Amino acid sequence: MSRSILFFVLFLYLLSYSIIGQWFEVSMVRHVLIQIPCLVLAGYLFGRKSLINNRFLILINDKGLAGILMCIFIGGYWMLPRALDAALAGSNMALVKYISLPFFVGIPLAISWQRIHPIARAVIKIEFLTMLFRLGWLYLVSPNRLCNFYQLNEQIILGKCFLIIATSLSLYWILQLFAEDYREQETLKKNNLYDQASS
Amino acid sequence: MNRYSLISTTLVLIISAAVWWQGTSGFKAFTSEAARRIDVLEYPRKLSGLDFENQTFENINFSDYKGKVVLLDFIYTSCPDICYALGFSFKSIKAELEEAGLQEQIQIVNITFNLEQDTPERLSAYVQRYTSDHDMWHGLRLKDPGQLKQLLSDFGVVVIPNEHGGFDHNAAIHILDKEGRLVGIHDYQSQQQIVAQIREQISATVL
Repeated sequence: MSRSILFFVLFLYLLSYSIIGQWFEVSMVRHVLIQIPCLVLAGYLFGRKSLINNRFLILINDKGLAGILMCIFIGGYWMLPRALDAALAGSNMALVKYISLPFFVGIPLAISWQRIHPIARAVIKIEFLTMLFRLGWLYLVSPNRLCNFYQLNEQIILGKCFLIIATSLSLYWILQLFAEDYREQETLKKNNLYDQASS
Repeated sequence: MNRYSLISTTLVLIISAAVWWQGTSGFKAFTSEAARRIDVLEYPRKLSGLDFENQTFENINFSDYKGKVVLLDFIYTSCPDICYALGFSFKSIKAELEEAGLQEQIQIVNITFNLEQDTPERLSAYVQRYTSDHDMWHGLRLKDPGQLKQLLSDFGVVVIPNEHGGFDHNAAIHILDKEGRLVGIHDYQSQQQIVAQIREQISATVL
């Protein structure tokens, strides 16, 4: 437990205040597609390892509702071009970013994902994909710079990256749906129950 | 669902709504450029009293423009594209206001942020592209380069060097009222709104 906290804190530090942190933020693509996901991932892994069985968190996060809502709304906020600018403008927003992404997006996602209904999970996956498509399209077609701190050509590259990621993810998830034989599983389950009942 | 989860869910919703409301100026501004435009409309912004010199080596302070409505943009004289668009927009607004006989009431100002290269001579040539009236149309540069950060942050302007040796910067027309407060920020294409706000500011009485 204590070692995982140490790694978690070290990782956050590397992503934020060090020279590496600045290297991420110089480029819009690295900022959005590497630093922000890594901050979320850090929180997610930490949550999976250390907090998933925390009794207090289970108590206040019944069915994963509070956690997944927090993850969606706070994560969504960081998708606004304005939020990126604010984090770069030299205000406290940079610190808010480094704290909110792991703690209010990554950790809630880790402790809620397995608890929410499978249909909700599917809806969130689809919504995430459409968000990527919409943002990608917006960044590609916008004639204006959406972030004051980044150039127009970077915005276009980011738009393309969004579309590539969204397309690959949808293909992956679609293929995944057809990888297993669900009918067979259902039959297996039924047979299993039938066996148990008769014995 | 248990009582504690109900409370925590409600809290999450309230906090999220507050974050989004605050972060988008009431769901109106999703970029920082839109945000600064809404902000100055709602809260006219006082500007620092910085010292400039113009294209004729005169010392200028924003307070010298008191009583006039100021049209202002940020430029660098070797700008190949957007500054031209801004300049021609100024020229066309100037013509429209002159037709209405309001030329005495306005001042046009280009402020350079490229202090290394833009000398008063270069500013003079820049202004000359659009007009020969060097009283009504000023090209300004800060006397103390150390004040550039203050100037840009007063206006909420961000300047980033690009790979062609130039700069990317907010392309907007700023309006200062007769007391030198920043009261409007517009796209250079929206001439109608700009002229309307200038007329409104001209007819406003100074307290």
